[in-house]
Amino acid sequence: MKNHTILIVEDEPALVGALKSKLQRAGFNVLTASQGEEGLTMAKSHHPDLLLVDLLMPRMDGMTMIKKLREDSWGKSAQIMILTNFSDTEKAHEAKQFGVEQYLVKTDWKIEDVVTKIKEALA
Amino acid sequence: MNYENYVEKIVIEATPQDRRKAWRRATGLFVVLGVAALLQALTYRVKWIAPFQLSSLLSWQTTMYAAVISTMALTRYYSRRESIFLFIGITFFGVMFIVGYESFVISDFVVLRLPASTAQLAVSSWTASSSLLAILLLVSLWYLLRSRKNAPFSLKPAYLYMLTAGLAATIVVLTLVIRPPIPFYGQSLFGRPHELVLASLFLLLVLGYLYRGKWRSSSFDYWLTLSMVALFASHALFMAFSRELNDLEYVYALSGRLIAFMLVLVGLLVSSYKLFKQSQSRQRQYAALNVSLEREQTKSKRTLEVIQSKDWELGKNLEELNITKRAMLNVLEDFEAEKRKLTTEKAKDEAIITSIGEGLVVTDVERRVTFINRAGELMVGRTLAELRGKVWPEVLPAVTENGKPLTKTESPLYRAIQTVSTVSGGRGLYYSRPDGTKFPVGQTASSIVVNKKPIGGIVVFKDITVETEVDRAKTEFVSLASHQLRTPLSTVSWYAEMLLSGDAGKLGRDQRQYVQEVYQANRRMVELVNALLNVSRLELGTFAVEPITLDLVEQVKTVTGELAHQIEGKKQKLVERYDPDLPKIKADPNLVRIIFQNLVSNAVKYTPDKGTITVAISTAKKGHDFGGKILAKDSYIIEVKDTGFGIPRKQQHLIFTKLFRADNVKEKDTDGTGLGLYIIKSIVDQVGGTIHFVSRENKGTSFFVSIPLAGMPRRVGTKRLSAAREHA
Repeated sequence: MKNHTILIVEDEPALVGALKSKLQRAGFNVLTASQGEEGLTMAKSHHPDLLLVDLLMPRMDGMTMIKKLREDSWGKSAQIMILTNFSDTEKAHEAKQFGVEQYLVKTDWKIEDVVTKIKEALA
Repeated sequence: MNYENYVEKIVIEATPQDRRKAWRRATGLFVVLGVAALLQALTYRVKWIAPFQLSSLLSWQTTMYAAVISTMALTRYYSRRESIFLFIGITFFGVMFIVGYESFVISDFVVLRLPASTAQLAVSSWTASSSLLAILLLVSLWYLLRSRKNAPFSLKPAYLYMLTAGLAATIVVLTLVIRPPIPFYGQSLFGRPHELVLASLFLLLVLGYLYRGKWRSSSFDYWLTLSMVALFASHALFMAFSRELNDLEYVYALSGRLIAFMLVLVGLLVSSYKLFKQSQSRQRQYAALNVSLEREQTKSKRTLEVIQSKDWELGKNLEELNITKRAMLNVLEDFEAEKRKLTTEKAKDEAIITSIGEGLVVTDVERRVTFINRAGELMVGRTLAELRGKVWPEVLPAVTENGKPLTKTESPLYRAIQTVSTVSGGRGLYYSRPDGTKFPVGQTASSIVVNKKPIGGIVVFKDITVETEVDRAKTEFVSLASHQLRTPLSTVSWYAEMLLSGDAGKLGRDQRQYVQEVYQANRRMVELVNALLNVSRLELGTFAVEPITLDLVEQVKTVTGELAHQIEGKKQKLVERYDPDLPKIKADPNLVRIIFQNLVSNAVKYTPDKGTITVAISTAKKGHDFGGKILAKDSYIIEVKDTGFGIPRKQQHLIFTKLFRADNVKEKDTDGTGLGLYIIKSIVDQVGGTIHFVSRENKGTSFFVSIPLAGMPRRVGTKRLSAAREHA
């Protein structure tokens, strides 16, 4: 089984730690970026199988990053999942515009279920 | 008047009757002349001397006649003012004296006592009387002829009297003074040639009267003319041929004069009689006229009465009209006063409407604009003149943020008129100005009702840019705040989960328990944050309702599925009663889930172990008794019943308020937020449904929710409410 690479773009280190730990446990390769600019560069260079993107980040926020990624030749077909605490229908619609189907509110989801969701998405 | 005219006059004026009379009368004149001539011719050779007595007798008779004539004529003049009779009267009055004197002088008594030379006196008096007669009659003729032409000049009788007297005196003196040298020529043919002079006077008179022509119509004139002829005959045919006193010719002459005077008298009598006859007939005419006049009078009197009564009626009518007029004027005054009052009030109302800061549009029942106030004009950048008659939602549609206009049935104005109610426009609507810019608008539409029927609509709107900004700021704050709150919460949650799933090593029993407590507390906080977020969205009205066709049973089963674990744990029994033919509903799945989640989890939470939870869904018609309340419309009805702690009566009225938890459950279970029912109620109210409950402490509670059969109306909003935790 080929190991999938997940890129976590999240500015809260504690949450990054939790996700990374859980995902590694599930057998994924995990890359992290703490804000949009970094995430963009890493995505373009590493071509992860899935991106977990937080929306509210300093300097470049998640949505802008996604938009920019979609302009990239590889980026436009990358699999992206939004994982945020910002529950806003507008944002969810905007995300759909950029081809992001999954919009998860962190507090609504057990961490285990997040992992399951990722597995489903990559299957 | 010339001769032709004269003939003409006779010819034209004369009727055949008149002509016959004229001929008769003319004949008469000639007869008299003829008879006299004949008489003279026949007795020309006879020599006879009459006694003075005869002459005197004849003269006396003549005097009498003259007296009678004078009296009659003067009487006639003084009663009828016909001037000819004045002349006749005075003339014969004078003549009377002279002939009287004559008859005295030639009477036996006087003659035999006087010397022979005085026999002249007799002759003189004859001449004198004839002269006087002739002259005065000529004067009268002249006067009559003159007065025919022009207006008759007034004749003063006094002058005539004086003339007559003067003339008489003169003549008498003359005849006494002037004695013909030889009294008469005994041998020649013409014994008294001076008679011819007199005769010619009388002839002149005759001709004059013939010329005057009145002898044809007037009886008196005719007889006078006859007497003139007789006098002419007496002078020309008789006395002219007399050679001695009292000879036959002399007697003829005297007789002729007597006959002449008699003719005048007859003329007077005849004309008087004629006059009398005329006056009689005239009287009869007058009488007849009088009768008809009287008849006319009565008629006109009656007409007058009728007119008078009509007049009186008219007067009455006029009075009434006047009264009516006055009353109407009063009414008019009142009207004017009312009108003035109304005008001022109208002006005030208009001022008020014009001054209000919000836009006001009035339309007819077809939603065509009839009025827009000043504020409205300014807000939408169009004038009443431009808008009048146009359908308001067409010329100024309300659009959503992304420019999508509301449909006709969604338009608040349309709905307000159709349902005869007031409809609020909801948030997120914009009006556009002619320059293309948009502004967020808050509008309320209502219908104008007369006799329970809509006759038009009103839309009150205002630019809510500021409010929208404020709301947006609030919403963003809330979103941001909840995000900031959630971040540490999700951290705790996940790490607790990882601990509990043994990622950091197996936990001891106590460790597990402690972590569980932490985790539970954390979950409660998450729920609280979610609930607060929902509440703020409900309050700000920013939440969206996006109905889709869904199956209520499916939705409720998801919820019961989620709670299955808890129900099992508390050994509770779940009874499900779902109408098998339940039609699909048009509803927002999120909201439906929130409703079910809250109701069922409440039921589970607040019911002790081994209790029963019943969930029933079906439909019911308007008027159906639903949990003690009558349904206002056909609805889906949901009942969630439990056998739990119930709600104390004293606190039942607080159950839907924010953060409220009844005392009896606060002790037993610290877990609730106190916001669930507030949220459900807000949602249910917003979508046009109802919620109520029946509860008895320690016996149980039943919640009744109805949602209209028509489903949840779509509502534009920016946020969705958060349902409880989702699952993979």
